[in-house]
Amino acid sequence: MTKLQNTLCELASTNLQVDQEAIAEGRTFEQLDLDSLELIEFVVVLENQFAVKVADDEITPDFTVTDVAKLLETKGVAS
Amino acid sequence: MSQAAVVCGAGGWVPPTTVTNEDLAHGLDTSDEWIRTRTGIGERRVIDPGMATSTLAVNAGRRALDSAGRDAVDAVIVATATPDRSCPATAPLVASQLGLSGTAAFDVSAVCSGFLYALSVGAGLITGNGLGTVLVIGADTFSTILDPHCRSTRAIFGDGAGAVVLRAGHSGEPGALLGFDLGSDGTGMELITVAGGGSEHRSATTDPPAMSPYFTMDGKPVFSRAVRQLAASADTVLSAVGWTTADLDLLVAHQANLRILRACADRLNLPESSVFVDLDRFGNTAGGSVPLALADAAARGDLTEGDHVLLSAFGGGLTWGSAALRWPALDVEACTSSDPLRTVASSA
Repeated sequence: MTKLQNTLCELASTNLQVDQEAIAEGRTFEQLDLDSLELIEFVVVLENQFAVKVADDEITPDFTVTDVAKLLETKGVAS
Repeated sequence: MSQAAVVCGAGGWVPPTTVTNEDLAHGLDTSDEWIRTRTGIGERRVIDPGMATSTLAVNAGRRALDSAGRDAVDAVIVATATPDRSCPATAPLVASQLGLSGTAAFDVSAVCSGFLYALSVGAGLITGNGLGTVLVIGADTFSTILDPHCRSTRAIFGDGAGAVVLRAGHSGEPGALLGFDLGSDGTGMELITVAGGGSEHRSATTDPPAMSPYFTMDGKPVFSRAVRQLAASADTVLSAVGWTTADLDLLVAHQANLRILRACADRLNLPESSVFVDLDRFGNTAGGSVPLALADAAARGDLTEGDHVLLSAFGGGLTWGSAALRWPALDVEACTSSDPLRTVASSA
């Protein structure tokens, strides 16, 4: 895992109360039982943490932490 | 020091009937755990038959007047999205029931941001129009506009009211309102609405017009917009008055949802201990939320003289608003005591 992916696992675990190992295993947000509001919460957390703009629909329920990392890298966040 | 409107009294009032999460679970597909996890709300107050928004406004207004040690003001403003009637405004009735017939009285409508708008108007009446004192009330009875079968809105909303008394003073005094930010975006009208019952509905060409008489809210975009706009509005006012979040003792924000409050605090880099929360006991009381929370915080000892306070709200319209003040020394009664109770019928 990249440093960014590890950070994302920690952020998701801390802010969304989901199992860090389950995220790291590559489960999608849908498989982690996150609802639509929780995804928005995560978007807000990412914006605060990485000082980037993320639209609500840029992160979808079929995303894994790897997909989120790829998205953030396109916005200039170091991997 | 410049002329300013100064908060010199505060009060809040909620109706005595409590609806717990367990009560809601009896008739709806929900549970205490489901509601608490998603909203942070444990119970809410609702009006009894015979009460209306004016009932709450009168009781909160009376407490604010008592807190200020006054029995008269020069104007009464009621911020509400659930007026007793669509015509006339609720404020004149409230003023009369407070023994203030003859006083200027009018409503302000900006849903959950209504109190911030009304506070700004009240301050303007003092600093721009030379009035000496203004009673500003936020009151709503969303229990009257909720779909009884909708578990999400019934879990969130409760009935409640709060009020402050403003007087003429100067910006160096505790209680002085130091700055405002107000804004709106009507393109988001459909996100928070009661579509039916207004002129649009009455002039509709379809038969019957498909416009719900109930309150509806699109949770996902509202959550997103609320967090971003609350934080942006708070930042705007902080900059305008020369404060940073490190200067803030308490953020008294619209009690929309605990997850929104937490996300907003995170965005502002504000510790959660600096964010006042009473939605666990009262739910989201719409236009009553900010002044009720303010009075509740003062009554519970969470506010002391000189504290740097930021008020912030986001709601239907879309609308938003924020205001900064340093808290004055005030005696504020607990918002949950049921005395005095004045219903519309008994006080008319």
